[in-house]
Amino acid sequence: MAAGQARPPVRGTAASRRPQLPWTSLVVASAAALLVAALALGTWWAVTKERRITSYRVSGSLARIEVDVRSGGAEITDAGGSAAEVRRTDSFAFDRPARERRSIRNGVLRISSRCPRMAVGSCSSSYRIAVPENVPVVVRSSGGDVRISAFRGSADVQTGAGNVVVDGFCGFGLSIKTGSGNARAVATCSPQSLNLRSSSGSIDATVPAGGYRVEADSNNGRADVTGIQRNAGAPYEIQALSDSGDVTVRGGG
Amino acid sequence: MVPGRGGRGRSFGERLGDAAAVLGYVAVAVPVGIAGVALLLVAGFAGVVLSPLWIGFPILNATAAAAWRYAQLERALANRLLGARIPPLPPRRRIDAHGWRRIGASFRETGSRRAIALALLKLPATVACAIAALGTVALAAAILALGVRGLATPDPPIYVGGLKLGVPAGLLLILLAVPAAVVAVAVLDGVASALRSVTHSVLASAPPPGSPVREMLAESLGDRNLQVAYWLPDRRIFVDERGAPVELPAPDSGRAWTSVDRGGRRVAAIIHDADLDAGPELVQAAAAAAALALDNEQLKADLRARLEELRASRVRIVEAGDSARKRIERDLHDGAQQQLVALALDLRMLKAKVHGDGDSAALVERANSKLAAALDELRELARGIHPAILSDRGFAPAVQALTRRVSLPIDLDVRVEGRLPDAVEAAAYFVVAEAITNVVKYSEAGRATVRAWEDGDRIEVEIVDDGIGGADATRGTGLRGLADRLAAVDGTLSVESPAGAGTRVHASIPCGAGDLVAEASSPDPLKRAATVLQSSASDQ
Repeated sequence: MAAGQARPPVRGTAASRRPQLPWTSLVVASAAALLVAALALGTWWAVTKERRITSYRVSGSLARIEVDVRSGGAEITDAGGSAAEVRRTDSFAFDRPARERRSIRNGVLRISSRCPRMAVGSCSSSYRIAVPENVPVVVRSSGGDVRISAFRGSADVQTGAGNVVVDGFCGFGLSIKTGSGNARAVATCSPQSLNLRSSSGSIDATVPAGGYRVEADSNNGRADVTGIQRNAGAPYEIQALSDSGDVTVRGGG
Repeated sequence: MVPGRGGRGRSFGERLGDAAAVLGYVAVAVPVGIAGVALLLVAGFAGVVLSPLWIGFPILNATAAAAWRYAQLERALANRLLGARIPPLPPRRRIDAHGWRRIGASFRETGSRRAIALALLKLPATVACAIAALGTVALAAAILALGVRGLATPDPPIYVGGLKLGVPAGLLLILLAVPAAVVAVAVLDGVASALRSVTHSVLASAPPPGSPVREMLAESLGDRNLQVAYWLPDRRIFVDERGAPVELPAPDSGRAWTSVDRGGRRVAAIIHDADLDAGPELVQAAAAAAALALDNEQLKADLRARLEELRASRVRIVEAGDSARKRIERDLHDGAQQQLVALALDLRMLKAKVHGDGDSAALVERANSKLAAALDELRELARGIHPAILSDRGFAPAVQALTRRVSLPIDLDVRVEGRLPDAVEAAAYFVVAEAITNVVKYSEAGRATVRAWEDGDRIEVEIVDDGIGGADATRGTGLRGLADRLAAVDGTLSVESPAGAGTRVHASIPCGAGDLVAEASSPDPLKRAATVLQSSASDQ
């Protein structure tokens, strides 16, 4: 039993093979071209990838420090002395680092850093700043996390998606505003004003036990206040508001 | 084995069209799938929860029905946009159970089962395919958009890796968008065949065993339009399963054919898409596997083709007989009859001449009356062979003339307008003529009724008398010959003749039979057989 191809022989298959070849090779060539492009870009990236650390000190009396980091995180610590110390870590590739601008005017130290607009590339620039005692700090960040530890002074932090963590805070006022990031603040001494807001992140504040004017609420989440007395006449104020995140305020941390 | 649009031999434009169809499919199938799954889950859950109350059962029943509809919808989508060629789902059965048994039965039904399988299996697959498809398309689009932006040299500058986006980088990106688009189309192609295979494996039913060999081949090769042509060795042509001749496809018609041989003898040809997914090796393997079955089918096809040939030749014989009768009638009318009329004139002149001679005059008178009788007999004979009035003026006038010559009172009710095909007119006329002859000769009837009417594309003729009955169509050459003549034009004859209760002769003749005869007498035998088959097929 045999199935042979009739005269004219193997016609259909021969006809269908002919246009098939260019398409397959076209697809293979295209995929290869894309792969080559991606590989070239990747190699370039690997070769030019760089991490650069820059440190500097700012001495003299400062009225305020303003940090605007759109492309990285920030960490604020206590300087222990009278001079501010800035340590910048740049990670970048293709020889395109973030550009820093800094200025001191009227005792206000302004530091801002911007990555170039990149369709393909990597760039980040994060700061670690040791701040002298009692110098207020203003931090603006978008995606990077902001961490403030053992800091004695007022702080005003705004982030977008980045989280904010404040440890051992002992200052006059703390204001945190996040977009989707979470905010967590632990104060070791009662702040005059603790103002925490978030649109979709959760808020978690721990303060020394005592009486506070408390406003803690969440539109779509839970709001818990434990371990502190609500006292409308108290000198300390806590405002913890979130739109869709959970809000927790507890005393005696 | 997954059927589909012929995978390979398509132009780039067709590929783009197919890719767009795949995007459309994904865009429709994902929401439809999600809605279907949600509906099935929610309604099923609600039905189960509410089943202690009477309302749960109608909800579950409706859910089973909805599941079937959902499977139908998925099939339509896959067939329309992916070219999946999934055969129709088996229809829903009526279920004569109640309560849980009814619910169980309706969910065990093929369509509902498949809908559930679709929901579980196909939705994740569709979503995954959608991500792959949209991802590659988005990549190509993003590269292109970036390239176009680069042409305008944006300020502040945008960097692509180390390149500053400007005209050169933009051009490079636009150039790179072309292979990205090609890869996107190829991915969409792959996504289409993956989705086809998933949908097909869930929805398509295997052909039941013992189904026609063509169906099995069509299913296994994934070509719904696959045709099997059987080889008739003695006539050296291919015919289809009904015996109609088949033309093999031309080289560039998009169809190809594969010969099926058995024991070195050609049996059949499989006519299929030139660019089947299956590939030539698979077609040949399928052909080899089907060779035995095709061999049997070929014998049947051969038989049917011979049968059709036989029908056609019978029609031709009747037609030849009719035309011979017409010719004889004309010859009698123009030849012998004219001669006799001339002779009668001569006799009249002779009679005038021999006026005085009594004996001679009597002799001439006798000859004259014999001549007149002979003329009458000749006319009657000619009329019996093929009445001229039938060829000249048609069925109704011919029947009127016929009944006028009969001594018996006959009620005539002929509602046949205009002319019919020759063969039909002749058949109908001879039914009336033969039946009336029988009535006059044997029935001892007091009256008779002749009715004829058109019923759709058939002519019905009925002759009823109130005579002694007892006529038998199987005996005697008259009715027997009529039945044969009618059968040749696909007509039927029925005779009811209970003893003592009169006789009813009824004939039914399809008017299309005229075409049959016309085609049967056309010179090209292939075309003839084909058209005979067509007309007989359309009669059914």
